Amino acid sequence: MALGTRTNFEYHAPETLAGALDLLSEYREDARPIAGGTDLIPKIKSGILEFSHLVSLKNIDELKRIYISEDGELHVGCCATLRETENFPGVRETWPALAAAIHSMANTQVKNRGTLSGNICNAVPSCENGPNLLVYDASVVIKSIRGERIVPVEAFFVGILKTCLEPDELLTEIIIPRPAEGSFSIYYKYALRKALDLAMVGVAANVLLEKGVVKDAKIALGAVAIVPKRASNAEKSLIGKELTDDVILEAARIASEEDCRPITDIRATAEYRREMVRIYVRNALRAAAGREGDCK
Amino acid sequence: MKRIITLNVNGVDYTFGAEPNATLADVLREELRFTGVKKGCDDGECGACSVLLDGCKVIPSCTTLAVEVEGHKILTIEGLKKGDQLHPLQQAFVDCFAVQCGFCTPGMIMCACALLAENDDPTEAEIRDYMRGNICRCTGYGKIIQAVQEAARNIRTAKEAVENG
Repeated sequence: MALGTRTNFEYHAPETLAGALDLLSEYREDARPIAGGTDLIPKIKSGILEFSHLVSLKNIDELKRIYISEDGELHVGCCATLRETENFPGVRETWPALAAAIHSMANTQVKNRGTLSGNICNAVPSCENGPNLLVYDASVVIKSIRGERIVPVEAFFVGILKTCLEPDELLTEIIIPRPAEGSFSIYYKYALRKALDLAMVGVAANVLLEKGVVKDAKIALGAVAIVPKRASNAEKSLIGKELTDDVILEAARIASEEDCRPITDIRATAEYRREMVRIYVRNALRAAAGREGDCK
Repeated sequence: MKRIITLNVNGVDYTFGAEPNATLADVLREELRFTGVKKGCDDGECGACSVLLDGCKVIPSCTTLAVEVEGHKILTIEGLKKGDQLHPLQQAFVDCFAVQCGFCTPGMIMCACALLAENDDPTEAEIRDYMRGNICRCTGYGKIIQAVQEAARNIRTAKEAVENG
């Protein structure tokens, strides 16, 4: 079989979460967990990952669960696939930026295997799900034999391909709170191709208006810094104001000039990315103000 | 070290030794000789290796480890026809001239098969969206889309005929 120089490893398929955590604790850096494998397997093939123990999560049913809790939070187990998440009843209506981000990425085949958790554990700066999880104030549940901790997504991403996970830890679940009643959320991705392309820029926004005034605004950007990040200055500029076009254009300018640090690479120049941040933040805020027609 | 695994491919159980790092595409092609499964990019990006998992879930066999689908049902293009009768999708691809070099065809048909199981009357936009991960290097997308719609019509007509006795 044409396996050639591909890394080989011992394969473990524990029946319980405790069994998986024991293996991760025993082998640490020498072990990798696998859920969908759609990011991991290409890395194994290209030889950039060295490890001796693959810990499959396929037999652990509790990790496959998706559900909405009594208080309205969406819980996505780390083995729930991207398509299961996108198609889960209520997700499109309540978390439209999440559904849009998942829809925008990869292809049907990959999303039938790949998982939301795997996507964020891969931690590429252009990660489509980074911005929406940030604007929805999502958290991740991280477990190891040492215990459990819950980390806000904002603290989960720490660098390019780097998360806060320790070698013995497993991200077991993503928890996404229900957005405030009456809030508006949206995700825009800019890429050249509709399929399989990475984002040159991703923008998510979650805005709550009360009597025409911005009560809460969360904006997050992807592919314009080493990690997906909130546009905190732009957000601050909106609070307490009416979403007039002057206010919108000023927030878009701030997001573009102060809230991102894009680089030039093969996909786009830094200047172009800044400009697209400005355009997409403007469009997202115009959509929140009910003026989607102005978004051309 | 090889693991002994059983895969049900096109309705038949096969038991064999697989290296943990062998992909499903590797074992389907090289161990079990289902060479209708094509390896294009071998990276999950071209759709040529698409197979159906457990009925109608289309997956990339090149980025799925064989050991991960141990005990599951796999359908490849070789298992689609009934006896000598081509599957309506296969027949429509022939009738609509939706095949040029043919390399993407098995993956296209398996992906379309999953689509029609979820949606028996897809619009062109829905077909393009669902099948956007299947790349045709000959760029014969127009006829491929026509073939999927033709097959969908034929499957619906056949179903209605059965329902109406």
